[in-house]
Amino acid sequence: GQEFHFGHCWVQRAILQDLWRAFQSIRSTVQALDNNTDVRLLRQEFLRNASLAEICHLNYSLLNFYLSNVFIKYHTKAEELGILTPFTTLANNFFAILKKLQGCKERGMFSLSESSQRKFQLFQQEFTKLNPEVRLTKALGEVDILLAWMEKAFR
Amino acid sequence: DEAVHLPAPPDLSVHSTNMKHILTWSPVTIPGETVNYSVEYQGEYERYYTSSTWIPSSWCSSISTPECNVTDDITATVAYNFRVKAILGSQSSSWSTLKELFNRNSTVLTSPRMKISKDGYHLIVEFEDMGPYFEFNVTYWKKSPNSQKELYKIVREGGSLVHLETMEAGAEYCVKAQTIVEVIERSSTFNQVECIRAQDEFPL
Repeated sequence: GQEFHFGHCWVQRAILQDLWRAFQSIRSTVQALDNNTDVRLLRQEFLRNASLAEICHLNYSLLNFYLSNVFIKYHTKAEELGILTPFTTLANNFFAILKKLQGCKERGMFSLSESSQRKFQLFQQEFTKLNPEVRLTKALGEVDILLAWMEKAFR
Repeated sequence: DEAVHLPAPPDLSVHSTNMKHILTWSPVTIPGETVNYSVEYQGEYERYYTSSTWIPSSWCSSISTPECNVTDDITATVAYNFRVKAILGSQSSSWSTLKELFNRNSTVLTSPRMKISKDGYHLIVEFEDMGPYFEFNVTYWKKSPNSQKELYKIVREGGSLVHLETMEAGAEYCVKAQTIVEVIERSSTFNQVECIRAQDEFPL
């Protein structure tokens, strides 16, 4: 089977396909609720000149953030919007990937770099500037960017 | 009508083969009545972050048989819990849950059913369609008294004819295969070796 090298750690490609499928089924619902299209939380420049280890750590921080700050608060809304099944697919697969990356981190396979920490803080600052409902919807609507960053690490 | 004591459905367990996951339980029987059941599930994410959250099963919100195909509910390689309650009219039992959580990486993988054939000098293989997660690792070789060079091919999906090799006239070729399921990082045992002989050369 094909492996998906996430920096120095690997995640199966088939799991990424499940994530894309789940996101496709919530995309239109969630992105339609985001009226603030000038603001982008996950910026392309975060990846410019970033090493694979840095990308790995940035994604680790973002996955952790999404699970404990975005998904956790959007669960009821997901139920109201009728997107709970794909939403829980995203959440549980993110959880599984985070657990795997946790193992890689503990084995020292990717290091905490200053620049990836700074980029993650930029993301957090941008996130907290927005009002609570808006930022959750925007963050969820940008999961495709996060998935693309994971895929970028595979090539 | 007089309230009947409705026990929680006992003996909940998941039976999983080739990534098809079936939840079963023992029926709750009330003489002269039809008892229905409702199934909900929780992944490791929900248990860890929002433990009071349970999600209705895709296919079993109100069913009368003590069995539910939960394949579409289990969409990550994490530990899942299920709960079932009995429903009779306006009455519901308490929930019963799994004794042991279920992770799809424990599914039983059987070796694949395979059909080999020839089209002229072409060695063809075909597998049953086992679903989106299944790939097939095919090993094949030309039988010969001295050396036996094994070749490999990954077949990405079942249900279609795949060309393996152009055979030498009169030679015998053998094939064996196993399934590979990437999302759980496991593969099945190899199936029975099957051999086929290429036709001899056409007389000039």
